[in-house]
Amino acid sequence: MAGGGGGDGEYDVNINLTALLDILTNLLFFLMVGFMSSKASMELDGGMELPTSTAQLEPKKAVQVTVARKELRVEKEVIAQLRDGKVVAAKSQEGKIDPLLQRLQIIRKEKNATGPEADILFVLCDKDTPYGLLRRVMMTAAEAGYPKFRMAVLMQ
Amino acid sequence: MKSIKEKYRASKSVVVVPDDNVPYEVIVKILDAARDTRLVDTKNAILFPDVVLSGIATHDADGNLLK
Repeated sequence: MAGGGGGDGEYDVNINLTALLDILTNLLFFLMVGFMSSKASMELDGGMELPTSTAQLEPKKAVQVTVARKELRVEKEVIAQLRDGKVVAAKSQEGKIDPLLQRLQIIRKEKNATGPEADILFVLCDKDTPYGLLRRVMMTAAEAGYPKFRMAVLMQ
Repeated sequence: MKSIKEKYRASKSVVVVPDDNVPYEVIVKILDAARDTRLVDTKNAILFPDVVLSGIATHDADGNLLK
């Protein structure tokens, strides 16, 4: 029997760690499998959720526009507030969103990039966004020099 | 989509014109369906590989709101 009595009431106990490590390894394995098979629902900034799609293309970095539930952002900067799928207190001409137009024009000028990737916008859009708002965002971006879009989705 | 493809076999493009109130998630599902490979007899063929997302014009060329 492991462990023996000392003369002063002290015990030498040999703990076998192999069984404990086995249990931990099994636990880790089941946690990983459970995480991978759980429904892909990514929580992004501002409580937004992306739609799922069968598309298999990997995301590529580009100037990022985010259409969240309550705000419109370019990169990390909040451009306008949104309410009920509409832009709050932002001037617009012919359906375009002026603050977005101005910000994208500045970025386009600052980057002064050329090549096939220069005029592409990476759009993160909440799954419940009405098409009317998304169409205005895309129309404004095209006017600012970004006529091509990469739409972010979650892989199914 | 499959019946339309059977009618127009040579066509590769489809124009999607959603209403302003349609949620983005529904549009993504429609685009997925248009690019589906399972509905075509030929292996790995895509229903409509070229999907055009469009909108109904709300303003004329002079910027006036259309009614």
